[in-house]
Amino acid sequence: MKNKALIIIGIILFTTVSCEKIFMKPKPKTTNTAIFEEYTKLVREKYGMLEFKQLDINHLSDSLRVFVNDDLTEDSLFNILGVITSRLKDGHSVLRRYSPLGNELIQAAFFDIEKGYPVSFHQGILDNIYIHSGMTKLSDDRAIYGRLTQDADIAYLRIASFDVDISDSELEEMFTSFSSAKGLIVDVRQNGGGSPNLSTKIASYFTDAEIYIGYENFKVGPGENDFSKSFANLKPSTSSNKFLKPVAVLTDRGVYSATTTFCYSVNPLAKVKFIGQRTGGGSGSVADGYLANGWHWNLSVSEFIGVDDSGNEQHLDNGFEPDISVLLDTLVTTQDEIIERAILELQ
Amino acid sequence: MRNIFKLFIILFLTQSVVAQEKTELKRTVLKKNYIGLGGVRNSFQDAKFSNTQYHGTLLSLNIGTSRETDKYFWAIDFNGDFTKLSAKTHPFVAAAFHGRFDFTYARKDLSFIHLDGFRGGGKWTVADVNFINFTDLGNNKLNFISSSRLSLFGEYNYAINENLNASFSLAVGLFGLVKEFKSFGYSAPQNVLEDGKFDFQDNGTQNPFSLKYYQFKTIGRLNTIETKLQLNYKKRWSFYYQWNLFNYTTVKRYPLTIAQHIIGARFNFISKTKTK
Repeated sequence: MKNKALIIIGIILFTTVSCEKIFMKPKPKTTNTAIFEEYTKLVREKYGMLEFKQLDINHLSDSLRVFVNDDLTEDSLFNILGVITSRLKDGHSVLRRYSPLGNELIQAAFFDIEKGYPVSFHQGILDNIYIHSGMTKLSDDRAIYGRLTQDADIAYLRIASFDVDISDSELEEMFTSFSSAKGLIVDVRQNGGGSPNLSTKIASYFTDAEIYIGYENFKVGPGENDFSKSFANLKPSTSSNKFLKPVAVLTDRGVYSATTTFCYSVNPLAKVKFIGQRTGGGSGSVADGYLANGWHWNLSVSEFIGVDDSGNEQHLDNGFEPDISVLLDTLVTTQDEIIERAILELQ
Repeated sequence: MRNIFKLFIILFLTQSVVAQEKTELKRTVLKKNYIGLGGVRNSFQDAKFSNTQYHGTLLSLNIGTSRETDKYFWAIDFNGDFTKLSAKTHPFVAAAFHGRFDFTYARKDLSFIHLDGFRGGGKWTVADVNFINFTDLGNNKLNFISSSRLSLFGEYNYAINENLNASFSLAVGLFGLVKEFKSFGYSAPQNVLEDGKFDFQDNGTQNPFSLKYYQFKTIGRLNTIETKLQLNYKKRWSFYYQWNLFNYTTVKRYPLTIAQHIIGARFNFISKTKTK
């Protein structure tokens, strides 16, 4: 009986340890053709805006596959995959190749969303004409805020990036200082994003009622129709220092990602006006990972359909036009036309 | 599935009721408190993102206590291990922490199994947490998988000689609550996205440590197998080889799999028999 039990134990141990290989998928190959197929499969299965971008990924990969063979250099293979990346016309979708030790970026493929758009922000003009010593600067320039010398009734808030931490108490202090202002300029030009949680938290200070802001359409499976919509409402902050007076949000093509999240969150609010240039977009959420050879990919795995203050739906990946379009004249260094237009609007 | 469930209920309810009805005049209880240290080899694959297998070898720790009479056995164990995972094909690494808290209960007097040295029962993995951080990634840097589950447990003990005995145990997961922070595409649980509940203002959809959005899953979607081969030398020392498998599927054909091989030595700093 005991011997029988030992034999059974031996069989169980052997089979269970072998199970690991049964449960795991086979290790991927790292040949050029395998990497090409892996990347095109990723884009086909994960990219959330193929339809909006009118990109037939099967056709594109078929047309590129003929150039791929296992004799290609890494540079050449990367360039071929880079064609797919750039065809997505998406600032979030990037392919990067690093050195064998992983410490040096060798190649990157992406789509330049700002190319062809006018410069709409000048740091020197801002620093010399509008930022003054009476303003509050959060450490590491996380935010700058205060009253404008051009009109002391108008408050100004500059957030250059949402890739920072701003604590609840700092936000409270900030919005307390805005309470007596008759209008607020929120300058998010060249803010390429960061944490959508922070940008949404700031947006929640501009409403006292829950409002519908649109929906995010997530890729949830490998099939071309495997999408699921998450409808989004902006819930008001629980703070008693909400700012419910007119707000001018300054935008340019550098407004991207989590900053777009901020924009679409406040877009349905009638008291919020957008002034400047078309935003960059990048409304989709981003996933990233490694190909089998270590190349690092980023892909947008969702799309956001926002609503404006008239209730019209719009796809936000390529940004949106501001309510008031203003060009910055970089040759005139004594004023920022976009800020001046915002002051005028709030007056 | 139904039969397994029935067996499980029988083990936990019927046997304990029967046992309670029997009056024991005297019983001996073997009490053990122990600490184990060993090496672990972890393997990780998340097929939703890549078929690349990541492996790492480092330290494993086990702390526990057990009680054993001629009728029953129970043990409470904490297991923790830490490894740095890497792939052969590229240099990027991930730090992996795994922690687990188990309660095991088994009866020795199972009348329907005619095998001396066998004990059968169940294992409640109160909490099983896997935390894998791919430090060089962006949004998807964090794999956080946690579960609480019930397994069917069986152990066979065999005396080799006076000083040495061997035991082999097997636990097969039946069902449990599970949460995986990453979905097919994004760093939020799959059910949050499928149910249309994603919200940047809801901390539960964004925070991997939130207790919201756990799902009840049964064997098939949530597969766990744990085996342990242990040699017990006299009162104080044990040497063990353990193999654990965790396999969870949120999207069909794209499972996440974590496997562990652990070799270690255990020291029973308390090992005494009391007669009550």
